This record gives sequence, structure tokens and C-alpha cells, in this order.
Amino acid sequence: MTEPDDFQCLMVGLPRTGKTTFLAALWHVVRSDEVPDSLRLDRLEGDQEYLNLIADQWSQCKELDRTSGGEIKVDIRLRDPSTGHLVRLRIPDMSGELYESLWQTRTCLISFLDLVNAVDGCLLFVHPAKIRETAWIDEANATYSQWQQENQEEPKVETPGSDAETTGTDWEPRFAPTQVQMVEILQFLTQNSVKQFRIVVVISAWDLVKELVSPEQWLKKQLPLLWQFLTANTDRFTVTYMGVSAQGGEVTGQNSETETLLDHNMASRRIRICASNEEGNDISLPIRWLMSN
Amino acid sequence: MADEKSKAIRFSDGEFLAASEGGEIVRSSPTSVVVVAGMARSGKTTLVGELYGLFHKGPFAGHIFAGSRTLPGFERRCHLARLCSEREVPDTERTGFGESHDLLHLRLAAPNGTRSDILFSDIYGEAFHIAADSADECRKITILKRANHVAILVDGKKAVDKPERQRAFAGPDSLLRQCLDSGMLDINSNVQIVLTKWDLVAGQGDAFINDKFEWLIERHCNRLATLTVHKTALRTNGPICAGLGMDELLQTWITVQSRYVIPPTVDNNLYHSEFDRLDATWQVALNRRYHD
Ligand SMILES: Nc1nc2c(ncn2[C@@H]2O[C@H](COP(=O)(O)OP(=O)(O)OP(=O)(O)O)[C@@H](O)[C@H]2O)c(=O)[nH]1
Ligand SMILES: Nc1nc2c(ncn2[C@@H]2O[C@H](COP(=O)(O)OP(=O)(O)OP(=O)(O)O)[C@@H](O)[C@H]2O)c(=O)[nH]1
Ligand SMILES: [Mg+2]
Ligand SMILES: [Mg+2]
Repeated sequence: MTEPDDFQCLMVGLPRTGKTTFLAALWHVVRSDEVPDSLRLDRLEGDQEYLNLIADQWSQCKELDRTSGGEIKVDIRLRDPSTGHLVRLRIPDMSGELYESLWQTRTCLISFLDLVNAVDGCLLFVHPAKIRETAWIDEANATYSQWQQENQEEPKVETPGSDAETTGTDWEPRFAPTQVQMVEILQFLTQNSVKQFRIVVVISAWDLVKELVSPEQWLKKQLPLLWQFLTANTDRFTVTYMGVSAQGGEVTGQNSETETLLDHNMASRRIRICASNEEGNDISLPIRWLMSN
Repeated sequence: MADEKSKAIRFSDGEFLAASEGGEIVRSSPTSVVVVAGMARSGKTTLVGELYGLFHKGPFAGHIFAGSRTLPGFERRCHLARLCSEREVPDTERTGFGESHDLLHLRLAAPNGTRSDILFSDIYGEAFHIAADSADECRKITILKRANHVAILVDGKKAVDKPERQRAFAGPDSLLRQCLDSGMLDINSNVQIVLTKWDLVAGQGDAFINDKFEWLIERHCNRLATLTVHKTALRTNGPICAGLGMDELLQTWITVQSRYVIPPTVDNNLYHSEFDRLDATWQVALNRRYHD
């Protein structure tokens, strides 16, 4: 019997950006055969306890637990139905805290760098509701005084540019905007390597994005520094952008859509993938793109 | 073996580049070394920090952001202008004496894909007050010799303040004069006179400012390769948005770069200070720089 090729995939993303939910939905899709063109589970191999656990929670539309303690090993033996190609996808579930500490403490384990060196493709996760924007005081003041004018309130007296005594909160790394942290993480990952990185930028919880824009346009507008960085370094990165709604909608809080999401007879119909030229339920699409040449 | 793998690796702290690291960049890719000079509180740190900040909103001056080896350094310098500092009015922390050999790094890409590195000095204002008064002190700012560009800032707020306005221009004038007379700048140098804080100034004192600009150009232009004048605002204030004037200034900085990569040789007797010792390799490479 032919041995599958190994494909090492790295999920990169700050805490709570949808990595585990993606993995849970992927596991559901590859083993359910519900989506015609998706990658399929070839046969069970090794330990699936973790995948079964998160896929169970996903099938109930539950919010998944935070991943802690670095990484959880996940290997899946897959077949591409269109080519018959066999592949062992190595896609450890990574804890977002690992990436957060990469920015905040500027340290990582040697074992993590070994993983990075073996990488064949990256999924870069961004969650639309988890973005710390670059927020300037003078822009906020300008918005505020415009709002006051429109509401005909007395504008407060401003003393712009005064050499006022420095007060307020001292700088801490955690204050840095999401786009700065993401750029630095990518600079770290590529620093010691000469290879070309294939990256799918996964905008998770795509159901939260109400504007009619492509995933790339969305990133360009919301995280312009990250978009510029990826665009400027085409010799280092081959990039595509996809919106991914792995839950299909909100599963917590006031706006929870759990009731409607659970109505689907086939759970994979909840999932929505929006790529530049196709839309559908196939959450293995980002992986297939990474594997294509 | 397992022990080796569980060891931690530390990346550089990203607060600034040492001169030797700057030298690596200069030797490996087209780079502009920009010295931002000017009296205390004239807006040097804000100019550099908020130029980086402009790219947070999108492409700027026809260029896109391609990376930086000093992201924490920039973020820290911009902090007091951000909401997370919990201030009501933006400010910039004064540059300390100890930080004065730091370089900040910005990499940009043009639409055709060519990338440019820019290295900025962030020197505290007092160093320039002293340099304006003494040739020996001026020669201590060794990076002036290696600069592709020297931007001398005129504090815009002072330029429209009657008691202050003569001094606002006299300071930069004597600094420039000193740099030329002490040989730190010469006929190969590119100098920009930059009136800062334009958002506080617009509409006031135009005639005075333009007269002073002309006076500076007349006095010094024959001794320099280029001498240009600029007005900038790095804060948003009423109708004026942060970034005004920076487009032109950035274009100026990018057009003249060090283009030749010269292997360094070091003569140990040339050291004057610890700082020189640190970056002597770089200095040798740059002393022989070429212009377009
Ligand atoms: N609306 C919506 N929310 C989602 C979707 N997918 C994930 N989320 C939410 O995003 C948050 C983070 O999801 P996780 O998958 O646990 O994120 P993670 O990246 O694994 O987080 P860490 O393990 O802490 O790094 C949770 O609150 C999810 O419920 C989606 O498709 N739509
Ligand atoms: N309104 C306005 N204020 C500015 C501008 N540029 C700088 N400032 C303010 O001017 C003050 C001094 O700015 P800095 O950038 O710290 O000046 P500096 O030349 O680096 O000062 P030293 O490091 O002490 O030499 C700060 O309060 C800034 O917020 C500007 O374009 N507009
Ligand atoms: Mg997780
Ligand atoms: Mg300063």
C-alpha cells in the first residue's frame, strides 16, 4: 500500500481567533462525506480523542474551550477525491497564547522553531470581532467634537500640542494594535528561513462581516499594515484570502443563532467559505489551496 | 536531546537597532540614513514615530509598508498619542540621553516592488543645542557624516510666537552653520529644513516664515548638494490632518540612498568614544558613499 506524503500545516493566530473551531469543523467535514469536493478521511490513524471531542462540541454549536499549553498534536490521513492523492495532514492545534507571548516576551521554544522550519503551509487567523485597532487620541477628539457640533453641544476647550506633563499609562507590549503584533509574528517566523511561505489568511467568523467586500478587501481596510506587509513581500509569501464561518453564525450571547444553526440536517451546511472565486461549505478548501502548487 | 528542544530562544527586543545592525542593512540593501536634528521639543521623535503611524491607515506617498526591525521602538514612541495611554491630548515622551545612539528602521516598497530601507536617528534635543555652540561637540554627532539626509526641524509653534520666533530660526541656522564649518556636512550633503506642527500654525505668520526660509536657503545652499524647505503636521487638528507635508519629505528621503556595498576595514586609532567604537565598521562603509 502507498504511504501518504506528509504535509505540515501551521495555524497562526492570536487567542480566540477561531483556530480550534476551524479544526473541529474540518474534522466533521472530512469524515462525514457531506461535501462533494472536500478532502476525505482516508482511514483512521493514531489517536482521535481530541478531534472527536472538539467536533462533538462543534456539532452542538457550542463555543470551544481555549487551547492551552502550546500545541496539541493532530495528524489526519486524507484523500483528495479529484486526484486520488493521499496525504497525512499534520495540523497541530496551537494555543493563541503562544503567539501572544511571542510578541510580548519575544521568546519561543526551539521545538516551535523546528516546527516552523518544517512548515509546508500556514493558516493565518484573524477574527473580525477580536481586533485591537490603532487608535489615536487626536482622531478620537476630532470625532468627538464633530459629534458635539452635530448635537449642538458646547465644545470643550482643548489645548492641543501643549507640552503637558507626561501622565497616563506606561506603554506595555499588549497595547500594540493587532496588525503590529501579526506583522512581528510573521517577521519572527520567516526570520531564519529562506523558503517561500504559502499562507491562507483566514478571516474567521465571516458571518460577522456584513459589508459586501471580498476577504482581501476586508483585510486591506481593517488591518492595512498587515495587508501591506503581505503584499510587499511577495518574494517571501504566496498569499490568498478566505472568509471562513466555521460555526455558521453566533453561538453565544444575545445574538446567538444556535437554534437556526442546529436546524440543518447536514451539519456541514452551516459552514460558509468565501474565497476569491468560489463560495460553499467546503472547509477543506484552505488546506487544498495550500497543497496545490 | 529533549532538553535542547525545550530551551527558549529570545528574539531581539526590537526597541532600536545598534549602529552595527544599521550597518548590516546599509550594506545589504538600498538604504537612506536620515538624521533628524533640531532643538529640544521641536518634534523630532514625533516626526519619525508618526511617519510609521501613517502606514497603519494604509499605503502612503505611493509606498507600502514592508516591515520594520524596530516595531516595539516605534510603538513605545507613539504611545502617548494613542488612546491606550489614557491621555486626553497627544504628546511624545522626551528622548533620553541614553537613547541617543538608537536607530529606528522602516522598510517600504514602491508600486514596482523595489524596496527601500530607511534608518532614522532619534537624538535628544540637547545634543543639538550643544552642537550648535561648539565645533568639537558637533563632531561628536558622528552619524551626521554617514547621513544621506539631515532634516533640521524648526519648531512651528515657536515660529508663530512673537517672543520666540527669531530664536526658532536662529537655532537651526547656527546648527547648520556649525555642521558645515566643522566639516560634518559638505557639498555632498542633502539637508531639509522642516517647519513642524503646521496644524498649530496654518494661516499665521506666513510672510515671516517664508522670509526666514529664503534667508536660510540664501545663506547655506551654495555649500550643500541640496537644501529644501518643508512644512509638516503630525497631529490632526481642525481641518489639518496628520501627515500633511510628509509625502514630499518621504519622497525626498527615498530618492537619494546609499547604493554601494563596501566591505568595512577598521582603524582602531580612529575611535573617539564608545559610540564610535560600536559603529566604526559602518562609518567606514558610509564615508565612501555615493549619490545618484
Ligand atoms: N460568529 C462566529 N463566531 C465564531 C466562529 N468560529 C469561531 N467563533 C468564535 O470565536 C471564538 C474563538 O474560537 P476558537 O476556535 O476557540 O479560537 P482559538 O483560536 O482556538 O482560541 P485559542 O485556543 O484561545 O487560541 C469563540 O468565541 C468562537 O465561538 C464563527 O464561524 N462565527
Ligand atoms: N500639534 C502638534 N504637536 C506636535 C507635532 N509634532 C510634535 N508635537 C508635539 O511637540 C512636543 C515635542 O515633540 P517631540 O517629538 O517629543 O520633540 P523632540 O524634538 O523629539 O524632543 P526631544 O526628544 O526632547 O528633543 C510633543 O508634545 C508633541 O506632541 C505636530 O506636528 N503637531
Ligand atoms: Mg483553540
Ligand atoms: Mg525626541
